[in-house]
Amino acid sequence: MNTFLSYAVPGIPFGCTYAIVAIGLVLTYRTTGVFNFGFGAQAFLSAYVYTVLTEDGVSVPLAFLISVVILAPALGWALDRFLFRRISPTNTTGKLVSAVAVLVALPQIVTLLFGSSTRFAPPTLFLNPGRVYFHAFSTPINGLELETVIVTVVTVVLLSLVLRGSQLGMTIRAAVESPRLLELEGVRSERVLSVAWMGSSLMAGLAGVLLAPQYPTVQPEDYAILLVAALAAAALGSLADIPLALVGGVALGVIEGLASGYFSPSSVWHTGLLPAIPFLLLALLLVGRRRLRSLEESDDPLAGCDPPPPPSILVTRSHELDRVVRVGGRVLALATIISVLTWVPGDWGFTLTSGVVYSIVFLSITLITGMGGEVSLCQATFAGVGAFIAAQLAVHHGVPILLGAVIGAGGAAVVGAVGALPALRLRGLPLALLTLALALLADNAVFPYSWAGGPPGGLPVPRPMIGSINLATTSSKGFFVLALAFLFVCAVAVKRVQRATVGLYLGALRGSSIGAESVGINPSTAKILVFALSAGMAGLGGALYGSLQQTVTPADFNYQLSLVFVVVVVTTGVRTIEGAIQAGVGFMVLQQLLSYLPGRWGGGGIAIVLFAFGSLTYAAHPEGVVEYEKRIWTQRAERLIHRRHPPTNGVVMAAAPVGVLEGVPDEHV
Amino acid sequence: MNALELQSVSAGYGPYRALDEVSFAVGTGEVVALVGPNGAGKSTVARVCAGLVKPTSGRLFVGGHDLTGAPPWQIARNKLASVPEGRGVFARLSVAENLQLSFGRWLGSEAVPGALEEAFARFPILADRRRQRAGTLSGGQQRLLSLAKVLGNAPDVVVADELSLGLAPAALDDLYQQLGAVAERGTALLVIEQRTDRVLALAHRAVVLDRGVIRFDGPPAGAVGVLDGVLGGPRPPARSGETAG
Amino acid sequence: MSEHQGVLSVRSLSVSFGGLVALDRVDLDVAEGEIVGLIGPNGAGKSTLVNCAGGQLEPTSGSVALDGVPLTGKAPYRRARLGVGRTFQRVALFPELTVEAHLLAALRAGRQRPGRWSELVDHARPSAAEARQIDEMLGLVGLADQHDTQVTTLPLGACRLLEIARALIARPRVLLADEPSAGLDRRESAMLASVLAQLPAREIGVLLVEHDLGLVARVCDRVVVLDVGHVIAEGSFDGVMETAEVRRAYLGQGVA
Repeated sequence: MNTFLSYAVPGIPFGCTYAIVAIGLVLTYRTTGVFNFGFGAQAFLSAYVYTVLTEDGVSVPLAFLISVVILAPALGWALDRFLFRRISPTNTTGKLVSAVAVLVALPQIVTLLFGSSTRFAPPTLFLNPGRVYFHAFSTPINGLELETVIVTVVTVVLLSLVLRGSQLGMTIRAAVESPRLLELEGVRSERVLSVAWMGSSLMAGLAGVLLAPQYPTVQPEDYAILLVAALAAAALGSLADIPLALVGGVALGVIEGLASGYFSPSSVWHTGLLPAIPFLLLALLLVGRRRLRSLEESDDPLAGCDPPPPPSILVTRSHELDRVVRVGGRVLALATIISVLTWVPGDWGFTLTSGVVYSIVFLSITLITGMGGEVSLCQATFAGVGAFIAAQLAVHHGVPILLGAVIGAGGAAVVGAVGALPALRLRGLPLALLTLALALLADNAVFPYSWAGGPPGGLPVPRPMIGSINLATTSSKGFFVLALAFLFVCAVAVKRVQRATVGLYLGALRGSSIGAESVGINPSTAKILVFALSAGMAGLGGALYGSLQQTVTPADFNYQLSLVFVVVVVTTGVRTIEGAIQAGVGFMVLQQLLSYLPGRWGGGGIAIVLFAFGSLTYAAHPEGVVEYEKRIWTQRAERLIHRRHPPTNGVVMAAAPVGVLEGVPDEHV
Repeated sequence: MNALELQSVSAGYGPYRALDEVSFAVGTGEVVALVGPNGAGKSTVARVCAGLVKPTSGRLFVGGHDLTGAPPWQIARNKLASVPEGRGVFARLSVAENLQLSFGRWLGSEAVPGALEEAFARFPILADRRRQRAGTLSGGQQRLLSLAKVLGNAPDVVVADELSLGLAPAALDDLYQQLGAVAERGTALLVIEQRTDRVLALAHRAVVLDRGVIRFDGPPAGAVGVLDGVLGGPRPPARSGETAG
Repeated sequence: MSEHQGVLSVRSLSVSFGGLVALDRVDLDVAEGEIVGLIGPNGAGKSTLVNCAGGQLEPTSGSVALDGVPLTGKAPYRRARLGVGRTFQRVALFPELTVEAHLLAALRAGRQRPGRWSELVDHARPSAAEARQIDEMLGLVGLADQHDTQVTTLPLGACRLLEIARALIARPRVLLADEPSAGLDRRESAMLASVLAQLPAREIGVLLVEHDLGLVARVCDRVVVLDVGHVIAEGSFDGVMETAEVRRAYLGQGVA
């Protein structure tokens, strides 16, 4: 018993760090309707500023005031005002991707502003970190730990009082469900949501500053990992219950304490299971907890007030213009290819080849998000599965790399299909969280092993041999052609699926899954199929990426890349094949261009920031920047063409677009 | 002074135009029926009145104040209550919370318990389900809940879109009785209905809308002929709830 | 009823949400070629019953069978392939699809066909035979010239008719129609009535949930009245309307 307690008790203060982040997540979700992945980044920002200020000799209370009481709510206000307010409350994909954009972009912005010099742990808020205040079951409790526990408990009590049953709590919940319906009661919903954002951001800042002294240095990665680990605690409370989130957080800390105590440090459990515990729990909770399945399953009752979404430009474009665009596109593509093969210098050739390979990975997102309507946060993991299979086969069994890539794609497809099985009943946010848990499980419990992710130095991957031509020696031009060929095959495959009956079923499922099922469409088959195809394509892209780089390491495929990928593709255009290709090539070209910038601006960070800012435009036109620009330019061109003889006024009279946008209430069951 | 007035209002959704220079008024304490075929723009009128759709041209007056282009909350604060078409309740709040939220805003927190009791007395079916989440109510019950909110709030004007949608005959009788009582107290009503018999019996005046244009504005009896013309032929003789018993 | 063959049979169906009983041991049959009206006050459990038959909701106890085959426990898409077609109180169309694509999807998905793998690579264009079926169905519901219309631009009446066409095209054995006339104007209602009246000739059974008693009187062969989860009356429309219980619970009239 004593051993048990001596392992369990130290877990409690650490569990409180999970708890305070979990509570913050639940609070943001409940009061703003957004599952705020950005919470970790917001916490990091406040912690960072607090650290910088205290390093510069500002007193702790003043630094706290600036970084938590002023900065954090100001950031929350801005996020609401410029980003989340513009996204419809029923647009699950939009909210998810925008929140992920905040998570990946904010630390990059901090680096751009402050440089990347190491910041060491700042002072604690009010207790002496070195002093042991008392012993609990013979475990010494120091000021750092005590402070965390006190602040966490006080926060939970305060929040529960404010939110439970009061008029304010009700109003906030109503504003989350439908801001417009609430306005009909005379409430300024925007203001309510603004306050909610400021409040929950204050919480993020508080959590950040509270936790900063616990880590030796202040780094965004720690906060991102803490965030996803805290997800498990939040999931225990079904993302809705604050006291349960506290229990979940503390329980998670205790479980980890017990596990690290009882598993011997040399055992495979210690290295393999321990770091994966939160993600394993998260996955189990998502699959097992019924309340999590029905998250966000109500719709905006006033959606009929919005104009119908504009039809794809491919449908409305006139034939002449269509031909011009098609021919123009082909000429441009051909010119690029010829340029790469003739005069483009080597580093740019490499960049464009990478762009082509990335396009293949990004096409997998077109499949799963654009066609399947679901956000997956583990596409880089699938790419990694393909890459590691191909590399291991090549290194240990001498399998030719191209064959290995195809086998790797098949392996990834199997992983995708198997991964879809527990996800069959999930969609939207819980499904995205499950994919994130899978990505982190792979990062922590699979890829670190040398049989999977290779030895610490990385796994060598050969370039392919075609006949007697070694693509490693003939510069990267041969590889460019090869990658193009693969991209072409993948694009044709995606197009084929889009136009097949399955594509029709997927369109039906995206529109109304209840309606689709009622005519005999099996949503499970569709989901498994889309996951398998998408994972396979990502795996193929990953294997080619490895071959291009000639070495792969687990860091090439970690969960953060999955997040970046989704943001990049969705902001560019997730519904079309061109969107994926433009995203892939554009992302690499942008990074190459930015590398010419001096100093800290030259890193890859600014590209991520730019794409994240792209998510601001995503909010306004969810079809993606590329599709939006295409429509605008098509309309301009057509206006130019038709200036002489305009079509009949361009206005459709009468028939207000009721259709599926209106209707009568469903008998909810 | 008119409780509600539209002056040459045009409105639409993106490229679709739904209303073309629509003008009419609802006097203080007056009951006006707005009828016409589907797609005529009736819901758009309701949305313009509520501030949910901004008119592209024309003006909107509520209680004599020019509220053209004002956001919904501002219009609501001028004591115009709307019952939107479809689900007009917060699915994730309980029945009682829906009412509390609304009464708290309109009447002040002291008046909430009284208003709540009154609403439950009016709609006993809601009283039985006061703790249930509104999203689990049937379509007709959700409709009753959104009407219970509005009727308890003592607004100056009520704009109700598709008032009786999904209501059983008994509930419908009850509802019209209560609307009559509300009108007696001096609340102006703009009632949009698909089934016209009852609303034309209650209304002081009727407006017929067709393809975004007003075809008729006058006594309810006169609307029947115009409506038959618009809808193609008189109503087929059929039994309905009120004639069956 | 003996001259009909039973298509849908509901036996002792009970549903409770938490402590609230929505349906209490309800029995109901729909025969081939028969239109059964299901009426009752708001919250009587009408949609709950339809959802149990369609598979959107699992009953607490009791059973639903189609042509004697038990449906309980089967997913909605399986029931659809066995021959349960339905429409929704709140239309559940597919905003991104055209009118024709709705019917094609329903036609291809609604049948037990061998070789579904070909659906991965085939073309989502109707074959000549499929086009004939789609044309015939659109003709039935009066949307014959609307093949390529985006459904987001259709008025509500057309949406409801399209939903019926979508449910019918794979030739179901039973159609569950949940308040199809809600929100329709007089002209659209008349169109709906004429469509419904043609269904018995197609050898299917129809369960029609409605509040428009005029429509019920016109098209239904038999009426079942639900109140608080119980069947309180059953029989011909006129006969049912005479019942004191129905007049009190549904029509809201005191019995003089």
